[in-house]
Amino acid sequence: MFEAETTQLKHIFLSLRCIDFVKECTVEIYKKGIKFGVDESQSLDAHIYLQKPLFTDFKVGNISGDEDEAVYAFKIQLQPLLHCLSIYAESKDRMSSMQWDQPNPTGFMKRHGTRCIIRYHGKGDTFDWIIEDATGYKTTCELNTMEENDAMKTEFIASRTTVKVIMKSKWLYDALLELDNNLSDSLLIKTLPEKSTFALRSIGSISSTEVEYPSARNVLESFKTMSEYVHAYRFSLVRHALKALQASSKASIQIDENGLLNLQLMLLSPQGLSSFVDFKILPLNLNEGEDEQGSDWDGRGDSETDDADTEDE
Amino acid sequence: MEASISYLNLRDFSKVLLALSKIDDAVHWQMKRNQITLAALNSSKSGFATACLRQGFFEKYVFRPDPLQLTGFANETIEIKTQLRPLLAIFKNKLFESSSHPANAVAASVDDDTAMKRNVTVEQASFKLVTGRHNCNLTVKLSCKHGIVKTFRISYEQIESPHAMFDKANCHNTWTINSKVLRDLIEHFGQRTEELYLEAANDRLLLTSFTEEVVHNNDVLKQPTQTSVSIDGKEFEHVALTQGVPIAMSLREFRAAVSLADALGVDINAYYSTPNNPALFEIVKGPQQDVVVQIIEATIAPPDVNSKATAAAGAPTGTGARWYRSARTDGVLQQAATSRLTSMLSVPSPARPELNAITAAAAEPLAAADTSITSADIDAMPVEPEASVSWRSQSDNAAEPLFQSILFTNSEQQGSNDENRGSQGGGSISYYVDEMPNEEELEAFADDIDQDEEFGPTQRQDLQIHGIFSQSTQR
Repeated sequence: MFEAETTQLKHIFLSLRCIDFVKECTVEIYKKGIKFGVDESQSLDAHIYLQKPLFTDFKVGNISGDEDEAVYAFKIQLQPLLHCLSIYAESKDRMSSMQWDQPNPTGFMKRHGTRCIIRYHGKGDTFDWIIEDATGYKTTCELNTMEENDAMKTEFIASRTTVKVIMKSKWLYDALLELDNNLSDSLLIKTLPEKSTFALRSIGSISSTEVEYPSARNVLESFKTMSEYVHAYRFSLVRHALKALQASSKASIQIDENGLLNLQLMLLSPQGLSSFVDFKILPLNLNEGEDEQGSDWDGRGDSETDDADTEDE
Repeated sequence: MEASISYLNLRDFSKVLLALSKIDDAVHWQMKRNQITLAALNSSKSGFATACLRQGFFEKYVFRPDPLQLTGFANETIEIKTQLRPLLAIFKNKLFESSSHPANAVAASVDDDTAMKRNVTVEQASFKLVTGRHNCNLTVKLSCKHGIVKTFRISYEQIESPHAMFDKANCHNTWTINSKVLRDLIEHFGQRTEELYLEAANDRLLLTSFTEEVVHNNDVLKQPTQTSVSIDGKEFEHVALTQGVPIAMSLREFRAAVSLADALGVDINAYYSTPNNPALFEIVKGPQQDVVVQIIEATIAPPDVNSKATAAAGAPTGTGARWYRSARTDGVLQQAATSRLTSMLSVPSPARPELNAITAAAAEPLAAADTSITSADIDAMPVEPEASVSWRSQSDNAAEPLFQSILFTNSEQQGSNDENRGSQGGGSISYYVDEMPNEEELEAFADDIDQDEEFGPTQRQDLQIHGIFSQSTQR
């Protein structure tokens, strides 16, 4: 049986909200924390890790097993849980930047007085969240659990990383919002080791947008690429990450040799505790020959070599 | 063609684009050796806007045309057309500042950590027309803070730019006013108002907005609402109007012109004559007139003008009583200038509140000036100086608000205005009364209106509103 207690309700709520784009969510309880995961159309896999430090009490039953295996795994619907948490966590500052440290002057619910107990007894039992407020309001949320069928498991092996970039989330968020204007299908990511450039581009029907980052320290904290690459991803999947990007402070982008994009975002709570949101997106055009979308940077077909353009690069 | 705009002018450029977007979705670019003209023509061809940006507006301007693209032999020109939506998206939500600007040094350090401020600081924008086998596009590069470069490539088509013909010299109605003042007044018009009537009435310029049927809570307002704002001639930098038939035009283009003028921080000039002739709103900015925006609208005669009013005001050809005012020459009796358009006459006016005796006083100098006007080649002006120039009558007092809302008229108003009118007859305001909904109809909507914010109690008949800014029940 599993029982945990926490006071970091707002942080948990904001973290969970980042993966709120699919109906069902997989919950895996490990010895060291809880992992919530969603996947979409077999190409996107997102997870949230809530680690032990977030909880004041964390007891996982006496099942022996190694640390890396989930003790319990099941599926729930995320929406009801979020609705319930939003009673306590949501206040006027919805999408604003100050969500972390502005006290809510008008709400009764004082944040530091909220205590939450999470309970799960075993297979077949409901996943319970009991939230109690300092003023005495108590909410019990019992979520029906479903069996977990084999979720898509994408493996990202760190040793095969070809591109690794760490930057502040707000730059990436801003870039993606700009690129989203074109209503295009795909997002292209290009890296050039010689000039140390990291560029994102999207090509639409009447216009194309490109955002290029220099390797300046205050923008790109770290930038490593093995050689020149261009990768393409479906924009609708990347769009799911926007909410998480907005809430997070740092982003790490890793691409492995197959083109799998691993976007890891760090959400910081005002108390200094962190949780991680992880997006793994499969690239477009896995080179099976059928997909002619092509990850060509310039959006043309890979036809003849171009004549001298009057554009001086 | 290559051009770059520094952060100083980028804001103005984005405001110009915004104004053009209200006319049409696409914009024509006409690039010449020393200027770029943007033009937009709306789908019904009733509104046209053009913005001429001269070389001084740009930080750098290079015109090296590709011979394949040129049109015109004598004057080398490149003419293309692009969609406005991507252009607007480029300039949306951006701060235009230089990071080296001292005022921003403080702001920059604060900004970095307050997360998610979407404002990106743009230092410079460069435009380049790229022609090549594969890549034909207008490339806009924004150089932002921290070395981030955003590149936008917008496709274009080569097509001739539209032009409009307008004869400023033939316009006998003209005025110039501070755009902020006008913008504040325009805000009183309803949101979905579509038409605008401009009329000169009794030393004031009357702007009336007219709403088509508005659906509210499943009720359709059977009577359209009209909002009238009248501006005293003194508010204008310069005004020369002929009292005559009002002209009607679309409010959308007018609003776009006024918002642009306000955003650029300059005055707005209007030129128009009679209905069915176009009206021009001109905005000029810059010491060398680097930015000249002209918005031309088609006008019609409002169909419901009371014939009595027309007769009283003069024939529709606009030879009704004329009046002039110029703030620049206040207090000085001036000889009329030579050109029709810029003729101004200022009546020596003592301190504004004490104008009781002005009627008599004004008549004399004006009569003297009359002759000088006719000699300066102006439209023949019927000699009715008392009616047109008597700013105030004895019944007016200092407390009279500057702007009147003539939404509801009553006999008191009419009475006092009758004195004002002199030879015009008391019927000039009557055409408004016919438009007003009668009491029974208003009663039917009373409950709905009470609760509604937009059509709230200000519309009720028992509340007499005199003046936009004051609600005195006493006239």
